[in-house]
Amino acid sequence: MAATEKVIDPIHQFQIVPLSGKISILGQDYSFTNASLYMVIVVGIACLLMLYGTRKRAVVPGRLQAAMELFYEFTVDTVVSTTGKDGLRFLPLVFSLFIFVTISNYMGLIPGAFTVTSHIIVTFAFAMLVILTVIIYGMIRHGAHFFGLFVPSGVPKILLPFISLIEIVSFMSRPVSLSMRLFANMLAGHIALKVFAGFIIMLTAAGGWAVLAPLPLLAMVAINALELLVCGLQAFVFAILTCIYLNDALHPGH
Amino acid sequence: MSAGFRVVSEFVAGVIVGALLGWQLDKWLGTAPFALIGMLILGTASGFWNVYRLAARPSSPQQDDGR
Repeated sequence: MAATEKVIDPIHQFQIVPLSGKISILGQDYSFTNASLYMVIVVGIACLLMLYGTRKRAVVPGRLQAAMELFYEFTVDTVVSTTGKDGLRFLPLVFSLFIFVTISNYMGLIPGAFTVTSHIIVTFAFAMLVILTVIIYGMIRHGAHFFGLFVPSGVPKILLPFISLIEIVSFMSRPVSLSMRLFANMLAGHIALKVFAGFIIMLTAAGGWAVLAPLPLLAMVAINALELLVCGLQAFVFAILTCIYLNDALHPGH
Repeated sequence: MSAGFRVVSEFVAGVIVGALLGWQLDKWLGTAPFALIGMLILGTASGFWNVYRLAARPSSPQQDDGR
């Protein structure tokens, strides 16, 4: 009956739907999906905000320009304080990642919108980009000395191979933890929102129990506020961890 | 909450990477469960190491200088 069609499904929001016909290049599926659409929208918003905000280049900035300058200077401060002055060559990378993650996190809070960062493949691609940058730049800049990262100083000779192995595994776990943190936060937050929204509908439909329906509504308000915090915070954590890992490429061995 | 979540994800990532490495090594070398067991132990150790480094970061540079 109708109940089977209108079942509340908190996972449904993460479904990827192709919007165009199937486009396959070399056997891979490159169809334009709703995820791609939202990525384009996020990039568009980022570009528009930046270009429109800095359009006048006023000495006394307007409201939008001040916000954009604040965002930019905040990123610069983060990069300089974690990697030092020579880390500024990575500023474009860190800034792009930061603004993309921030805007796509906040986009996801708009009801009905798709959250790009709630898919682990997206966050994992970002994390791999960061780690590959670290490895390649570290190899070019420091050569074999870069592998000193895996040989901590002041360790007894007998323990050294074991510690090095642990260091290598710990280095390999970095992209996993970096991507998993952002993905899990977004996924959990959005599922919680949907589940509580489902409670409201179920309670309103449950006869006398409908008097309890405002309770999950209040919880929804609280969770939404928390999500606003988590979105900004996780984007910031992603950016600062990127800086910390880049610091290893710039200055291996502390 | 953010700090706690960070510690958890660092630890879990260590274990997951260890397990994946062991699983794939087993597949590649054909040594039934031994690589998985060994790499799982290593992965857990590196998870603890991640957490330890997270906790010890602010003071670690000075300790290195004192040596």
